[in-house]
Formats: sequence, structure tokens, C-alpha cells
Amino acid sequence: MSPSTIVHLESRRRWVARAGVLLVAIGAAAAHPAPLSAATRERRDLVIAVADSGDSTRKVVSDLRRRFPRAVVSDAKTAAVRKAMVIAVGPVALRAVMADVGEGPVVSVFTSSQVYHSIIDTAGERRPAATAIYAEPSPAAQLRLVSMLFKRPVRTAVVLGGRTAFLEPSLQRAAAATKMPLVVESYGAGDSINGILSRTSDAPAILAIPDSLVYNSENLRTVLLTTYRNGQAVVGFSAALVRAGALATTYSEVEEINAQLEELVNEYDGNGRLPEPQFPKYFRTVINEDVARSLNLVVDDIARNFAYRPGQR
Amino acid sequence: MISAIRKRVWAWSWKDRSISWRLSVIAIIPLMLMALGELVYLLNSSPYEARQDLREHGEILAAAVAENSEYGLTSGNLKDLERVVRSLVVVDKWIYKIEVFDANGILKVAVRSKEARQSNGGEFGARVYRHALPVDDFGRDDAPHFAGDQQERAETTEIIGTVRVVLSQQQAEAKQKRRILSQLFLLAVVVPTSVWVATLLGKALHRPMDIAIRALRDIRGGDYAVQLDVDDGGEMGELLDAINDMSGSLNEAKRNLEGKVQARTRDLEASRNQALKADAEKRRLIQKVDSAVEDERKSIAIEIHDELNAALLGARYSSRRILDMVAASPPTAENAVIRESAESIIKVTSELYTSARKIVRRLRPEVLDMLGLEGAVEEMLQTYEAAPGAPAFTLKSTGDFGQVEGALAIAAYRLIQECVSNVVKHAKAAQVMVMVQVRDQGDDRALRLAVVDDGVGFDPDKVQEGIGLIGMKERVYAFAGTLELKTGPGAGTHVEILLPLTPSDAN
Repeated sequence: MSPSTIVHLESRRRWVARAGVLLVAIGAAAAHPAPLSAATRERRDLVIAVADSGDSTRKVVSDLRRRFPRAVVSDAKTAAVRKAMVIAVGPVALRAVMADVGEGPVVSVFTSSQVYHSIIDTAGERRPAATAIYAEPSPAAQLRLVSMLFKRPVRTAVVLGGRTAFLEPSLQRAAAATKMPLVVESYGAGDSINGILSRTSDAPAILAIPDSLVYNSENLRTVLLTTYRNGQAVVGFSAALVRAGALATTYSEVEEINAQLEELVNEYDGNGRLPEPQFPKYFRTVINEDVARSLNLVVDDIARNFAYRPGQR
Repeated sequence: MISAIRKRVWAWSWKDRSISWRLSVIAIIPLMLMALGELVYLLNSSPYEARQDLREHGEILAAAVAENSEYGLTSGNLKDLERVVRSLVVVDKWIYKIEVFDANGILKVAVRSKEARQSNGGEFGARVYRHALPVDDFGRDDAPHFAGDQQERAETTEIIGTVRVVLSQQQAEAKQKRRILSQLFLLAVVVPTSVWVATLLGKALHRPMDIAIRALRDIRGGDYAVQLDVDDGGEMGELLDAINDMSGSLNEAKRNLEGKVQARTRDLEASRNQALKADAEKRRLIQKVDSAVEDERKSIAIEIHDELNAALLGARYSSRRILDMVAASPPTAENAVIRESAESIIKVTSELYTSARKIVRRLRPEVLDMLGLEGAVEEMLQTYEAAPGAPAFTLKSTGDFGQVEGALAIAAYRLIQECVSNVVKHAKAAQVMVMVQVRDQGDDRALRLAVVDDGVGFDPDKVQEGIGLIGMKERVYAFAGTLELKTGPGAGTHVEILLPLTPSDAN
């Protein structure tokens, strides 16, 4: 999707979005505010930029308004407060904020790493400082979940496309930390996911990193069928995929992303440094017990309860 | 004509049949009609159902193959798809050929049956869809990404190929044949079984009717003490109850009637006993009278024999002495008169003596005591035959006359005497046959007397009975015998008398 197309779409959605944002703001204002840290309560130059009024976005904004009562909820295209920190909810809002050159930093939430990097890469040099809390689970946490499911280090295959190739170093580090043999397969133009899966059929586990060039809704059924026939466990990358036939995944709910965001904002307010883009820190685990039985895996409560919640040490 | 035939057929087929037969027919005819309808439907619907089976089978097969082809066409794993299709073709004998095409119409998999099947069962097609999972792949840049339960994507589908299934009609026809045969077998089992059950039910329903009918037959035969065990409800139970009530009423009426009859019988028996008693008394009276008469006759005879005859003999002896004395005297006129008178007295006394002897013989047939009945009768007939103008008598006697004595012998003698006397006096007969027969064979113990003459006879309706016949009947009655008189004008007379020869009667 080209930037011009995005602008066109946004111009069409503008009035709808504004009405939605207004409703979200009214709803958030009516909510009972939770106890806040001193820095959060005093911050006034915080903008929550949204570009849609879907249920999920409204839920995100509601939770953020509870966490940042002074924050201004604004349409992404009109959120030009020059020195304010901007929280961009979703890819559309992020792209709009990055296009509107401001002086405040931008924090991207609920945008996947591949889309975040795509937007950042196309934003140009005059873009504001930006960081992100990615939407997808942390590969390191996923690798730890694999080791918990198998209760031993198992050979784990990962297919990385062009958009996720940057994750390989961090994956290797995580694998080394968990002593998991990691097989990284690169997905290039003209490759077939079935061909790659056939090459990695000896790996008991497949760690699915979301990359729409590798895994998409059109081939996910085939991927799941192929790995099932190969007796491979697929770990990744959302609760919806687990319900569709993957073995398990870690994932983060809205409140957990927002809690991490709140910590990031506070940290920024404290030291003035914007951290690097990061995967969700807080997460929980979902396991498809039927798939586990089919793969003859005995899942224990350690794996089932594998999670990291805000306030947990 | 037709109406008569119809009535006859109706009577033959239904009217005269038993209830169990009718019940069985009522149960069986609908069953047979149903079986016939089932058979007709089966035969008529068979081709249609074969086509229907083919269509359904083909559509299901095509849909199933299409559903299973998604993975093969998407992943390119056509060997796996071909293996699945081939196993399907091997297992399912209906299939002639299965072909799988990709979205561009290029044949990817084609499996044909190796058996000699025909391809006339029709072609069936189905599209192969790729179903996109409603899973966010985190690649979209038009909406926020969520790894949790938030899910706003709908499942989408895309046509990625087609499936063509060609069926063989042979299996459908074979299936229909098996179906028809199985249905026919089922009918062959069900119909006789149902008939059997219907017959059992008919018998079960007929049982109380049969009990009722038997009870009614018993009642009609006079057995009113019928009590049925009523364990049925409804009309049959009501009928059996009614029969019990009816039999009870009839039995009570019968008992009342029998009581009346017994009472009447007792009255009649009492009357009969009284009559018999009177009859016996009458007989004893007659016998007593006869005995008294005989005794009196005997007494008179003795008196005549002892007194009169002795006097007559004395008078004749005296007259002879007078005559002897006159003969010894000189003949004189006076002596002549004396001699004549003496001779006259001798003649008169002789005649009187002869008459007296006859009277004595008639009054007291002592010859009966000396010669018995047979000899007495013979002597009697000789006496009658000696009379001037008397008919010729023939006596036939058989049997043991030793057991005929006493009052019975006297009665028999008197009865023959009376008959013969009547013949001599009235019959003007030339021949008289007298038969005396003693019959003693088993229960037939009797004295038979018969007097048959060839005289003038008489009309019994016009001739009033005389004292003699009445006396004969009384004598016969006194001994419980029978007397039969056969006569007619110019036809002679036949008197037949039968006197029972029993110890009591003999006494």
C-alpha cells in the first residue's frame, strides 16, 4: 500500500474516526481513574493517536486513558502537538504520526515489528524519534515456551523472511540462552513454504515468527496440516493461530502492552532517553490441548502457567 | 343372475365362516395390501432411486474429494492427493474415474478404476476452495495488531481448483437389485410372520367367543350349570357375564321345574302305588271270591256226593229190594204196580245219581287233582264230545304241567271249560282246537290257553258281553294275565289267554 493510498483512505475515514475518537474520549473520561504514579499524573503533553474506532482500539484507548488521565486522545492526523510524546495505536496512526513531523518522540504500540520497520524505513530522515512495543510475542519467550513444552532442548526451526531477518541475531542469542538447537531457514522470493517445511521436517518444533511473506492467512491451514503430518509442533504467534491448530504461544493482552508502555513513558520521563523497540515484556500462555495430545506431548502446569505479569519479579 | 352369484360368493367367502377366520382375514387383508403396495412401490421406484443414489453419491464424493484436495493443490503435494483419490477409487466400486484440476483447468490428478466398470453413471463436479484462516498474520498495515483474543478478521475462501467424479451405474443397479431382493426377503419373512401373528391374534380373539359358543351349546343341550371364567374386559367380558347370568337363571328355573316335576312324580307314583295296591287288592279279592266259590262248590259237591248221592243210592237199593221182593211174590196186580213203581224209582234215582255226579264233577273237578290240568282238560273234552251234536275236539298240550297247580290250574280249567261251553252252546262249530301250552324259557314263563273253533263267530261290537266272558276276564285279570278275542261273523272264534307262570301267581 503506497503512502498516497493511505492518505486517500484516511481522508475518507476522517469523519468516522473523529466521531469514534470523540466517543472513546467520552467513555474514557467517564471511567473511574486508577491510582497513578506521580510522573504519570503530572504529564500533560501526551497524545494518544488513533486512526480507527474499532472495538479493540476503543479498549486500548480506554485503558490508556485510565493510565494517562491527562493525555489527549486525538485523531492521528490532527495530533500535531509539537513537543508532546505521541502514542501511536496501530499502523495507520503510526504512519500518520511519522508523516507529521513533530518534536516529541513517538511510541508505536499494537503494530507488528515487520510493519513498524516498514513504516520507519519509509518515513524519511526528518521523522521524529520513535520506538515501539511490538504486537507479536517475544521470540525469546516463545523459545522458552518450546523448551517448557518438550521439557528438554529440541531442534527448533524458524523461517525468516525479508521483513523478519533482523530478528535472527536476537533469536540466536535467545536459543543460546535456552540451549535450544535453532535452525534458521530464509524465505526468499519464489520460495515455497511447503518446500522449506519439508526441509525442516526433522525438527520437532517450528517457531512461527509472523511475517506475512512467509505465513499468511491463505497458507496457514496448509502449514498447520503439513506440520501436523510431519509430527511437528508449531509454536506461534497468536491465540487465534493456536485455536486454528498451532500447539501453543505466548501472547500479550491490551492491559499488558499498556502496562509496559506506561513503564516506558515513565522511564523516558525519568531519564529522557527513548529505549530501543522491544517485544512485549508481559505475556501469558495459551496451549491447544488437543494438538498436544495428538503430538503425544504431556503438558504440565509449568508450561500452562508460563507468564510474566506487571509487578511480577 | 349376477346378484345370485355375488350372494353365493359372499356366502361362501364370508357369511358361513367362523369368527377366527374373519378376524384373521381382517388382519391379513390390509397387510397383504400393504405388502402389495410396498412391492409395487419398490419395483416402480427402483430406477428413480438408483438415479437418486447415483446423484447423491456423486455429489458427496465430489464434495469430499474437493475438500481433501485443498491441501494437495495448495501445498503441491499431489502424490498425497493422488494416494487419497486412488484409495477412494479402490474402495468405492461406484467410481469410474476421479479427476482434479487446478484453478487454470490443468489436470493435476486423474485416477481411473482398474476394474471393468462403465462410465454411464453420470458426472459430478465440485469446486476446491482454499479457506483462509481468520488469523492475523501481523502483515497488515491498515489496523492494529493483537496477539490476544481480539480477532476482527473473517474467514475468506478462494477457488483453487475443481473436481470431476465419473460414476459407474453398475454398482447402483447392483445395489438396487440387492435392495429389491432384501426387501422381497423381508416381505417373505414379514408377511408369513404377520399372517401367523394375525392367526394367533384371531385365535386369541376367538377363544372367548369359542368359550361362549360352547357354553351356549351346553345350555342348549340342557346343561345349565355353566359358569365361565371371565378374565376378558369389553364386549367379550360382557357377553360371558351375560351367559353366566343366563345359565344361572336357567339353572334356577330348571331346578324349580325339576322340583315341581319331582313333586308331581311323587304324587303320580303315590297314585300309581295306590292304583296298584287297589289292583292287587282287587285281584286278591277276585281270587278270594273265586276261591270261596270253589270252596263252596267243593262243599256243595261234597254235600251232594255224601248226602244226596248216598240217599239216592239208598233209595235205589231199597227199590231194588222192593223189586226183588215183588219178584219173589206171586204176580199180582198190586205187585205189578209195586214193581213198576220200584222200577220207576230205580230209574229216577239212577238218573238223579248220574245228574248229581255230573253236578259234582262240574262243581268239583277232582279229576284235576288226580290227572292234573292236562288230563282234566282231556277228560272234560271227552265229556263234551260225548254229548249228542257236539263238535269234534282236538287237544294239543305241550310243556311241563307239573308247575301248573292250585288256583292257577283251577282258573285255567274253568277258563277252558267256559270257552268250550260257549262253543258247544253258541258256535255251531264242527271242529274245535284246544291248545294248552306251558312256556318256560327264561323270562317267558306263562301258561298259554287257546280255543279255536270254526263256528259262526260273532260281531264283538254288536254282541253284548255275557256273564261268562266277564267272568273269564275277571279270572284272567286276577292272575295278571291277558285275554285276546278274535272273532267275526262267519269267521269262527279264537280265544287266546296268557297267564303268567310266576311263583306268586302259582301260589
